[in-house]
Amino acid sequence: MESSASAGDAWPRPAVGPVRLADALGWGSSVLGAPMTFAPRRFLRAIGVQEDSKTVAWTLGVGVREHIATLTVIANRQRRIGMWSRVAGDTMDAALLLAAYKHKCADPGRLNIALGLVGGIFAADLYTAVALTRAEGGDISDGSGSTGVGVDHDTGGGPTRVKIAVTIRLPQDEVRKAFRQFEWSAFDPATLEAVGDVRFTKAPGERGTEVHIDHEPPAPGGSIGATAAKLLGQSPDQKINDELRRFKAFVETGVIPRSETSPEGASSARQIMHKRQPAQPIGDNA
Amino acid sequence: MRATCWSGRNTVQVENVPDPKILTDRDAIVKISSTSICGSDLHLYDGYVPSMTKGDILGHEFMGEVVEVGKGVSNLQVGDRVVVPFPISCGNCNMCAKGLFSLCENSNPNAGMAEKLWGHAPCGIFGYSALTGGYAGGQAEYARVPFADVGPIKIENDSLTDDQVLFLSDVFPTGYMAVEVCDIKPGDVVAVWGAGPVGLFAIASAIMLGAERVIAIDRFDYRLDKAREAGATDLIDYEQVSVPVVLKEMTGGRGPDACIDAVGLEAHHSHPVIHGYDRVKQAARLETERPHAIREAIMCCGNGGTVSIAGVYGGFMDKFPIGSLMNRSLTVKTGQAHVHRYLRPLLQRIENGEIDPSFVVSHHLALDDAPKGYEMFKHKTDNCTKVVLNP
Repeated sequence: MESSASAGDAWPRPAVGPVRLADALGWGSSVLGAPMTFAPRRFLRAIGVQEDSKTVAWTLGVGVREHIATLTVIANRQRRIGMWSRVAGDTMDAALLLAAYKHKCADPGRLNIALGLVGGIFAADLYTAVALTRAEGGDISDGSGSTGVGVDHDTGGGPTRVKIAVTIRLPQDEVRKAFRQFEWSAFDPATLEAVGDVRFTKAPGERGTEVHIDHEPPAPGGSIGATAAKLLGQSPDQKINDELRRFKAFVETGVIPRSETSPEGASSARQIMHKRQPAQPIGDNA
Repeated sequence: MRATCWSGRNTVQVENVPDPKILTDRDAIVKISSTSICGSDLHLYDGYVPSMTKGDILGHEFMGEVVEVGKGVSNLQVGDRVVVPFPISCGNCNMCAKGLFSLCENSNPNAGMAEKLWGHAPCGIFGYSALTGGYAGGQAEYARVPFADVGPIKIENDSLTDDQVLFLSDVFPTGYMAVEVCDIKPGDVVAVWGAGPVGLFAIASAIMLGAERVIAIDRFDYRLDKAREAGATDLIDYEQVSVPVVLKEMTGGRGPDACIDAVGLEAHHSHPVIHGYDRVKQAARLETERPHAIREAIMCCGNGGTVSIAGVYGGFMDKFPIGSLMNRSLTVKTGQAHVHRYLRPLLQRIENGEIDPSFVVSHHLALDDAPKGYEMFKHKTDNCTKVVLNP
């Protein structure tokens, strides 16, 4: 039987507790958001707030916010950002409930319970957000910036951060030269090299050169914008991924392989959005 | 040109589509003289392979005459008669360098899609869904062949007919590789599930590679007759007898040394309850396979034996007998055939008269009759074993 890394190994100690708590709270957002978005009036009755167009609109808005929090924490794995967003959201919820207490109260008892629950959730969110922030700052894990989700490398960073590697069956010098000459649109290769976001290492077993990119392009719209772009296959990290595939193919084969359904070569946008034409000759548009 | 297009579950249509054009310097255009319907095309036809789009041109077994070459193709000339292997392989990447051509790292532009389903991506394949690149297939009058300097093999011996060499494109190497990976030793017993074209070539290859006894398992008499023709020493109709019981008895209780699954994801089981269980789960998309053949192959294989999977599987299966596999030291060998590495040696065997692959052909049809060919092949009517379309 093989055992995993033991005490004293150079692997990061995962901040498993806060990560699991963040995931639970992330899923909890949608559990809470579901009645807000699908049955806002019943939700308002349950928390003792009067039903009118204004309170229903606010409830729907908060419900949508809860689903976005789930997407951020679970789908996008931006736990720290998601938790701090939740802390801000809890503050807003408390303010809304206090305002309702004053002007729209239907059942003070229920409203008191709702306020108490928001307070409890706020405490859990704040604890988790602080713990994750400390972890990414290095206080809990190994200082690599890892959130330690059971992995041996740094997974922190913003929503567009991309860590990707390919192996190219050519010597390092040729790969480096080609990297500088390739027409990248996702980044400037010289800048990437200058800031150390690209590494070239010898692949074991005479398999050529490994190209490692660890880069965080600008994220217009923050985590929400990045999530939306990712759903469309248009996020900066997906573009880098596509271009790195094309680069590998071009350097190794001299051409960028094109199929009838992906005439430009690798394209996340085509794959995700299913903007595929049928696998038929492209004709004069090629 | 005319081409056989997938038009939804259980339908194909022969349509007019644009002629192919050279897209990269390493492309060639082939005017197709013969193309065949593969058993794995039926998985597309039946709707079990995701990422198909209406209008996709089918077909990955084809041959013909080169009519145009890209600037980077120096080994082929216009007029050459070629057989085209179904995997599209660049010849430059680490996988191709190791002879693992069906795992080419560069030929599948939709590798990202395949990685989501399978972890890593295989090569591009002609006419076999977006998951394997979204390439137009060869059941057409013409096809564009990427990396034509690596894949197609020239057939310079004019005495060989299309039917004798066409199956170098897929089913012959697929059946051959399924046996070769079992490392057959003198005295070995090989059992082959499925007497379709891949199974028939596996049977013939097992004999060529020195197996002492080759047992064919199917439920259609005409296919079992073909298996006998291919060299099978014993036949089992799985609807008449219990395969595990008979195999044990036939092998003195040991079980076969090598068990080859040449059936894949749409297997049948003689017991209606067991068949129904997986049929319902597959229809409800709770599993993607009906894995009767592979389950039985594992359970029947002798201790320390090899289970070789040549039949196509797409995703996830239920009730996989991992306990039998692990506790009895079985070895699993599998993979889409690395056709390129078998082209020359198998062509040599054909030229030497060791095998005439045309024995699998049951029907020749015009390209426009492709829909009829698919129906015949799917429903096993008119003793259909292999349909060759001649555009």
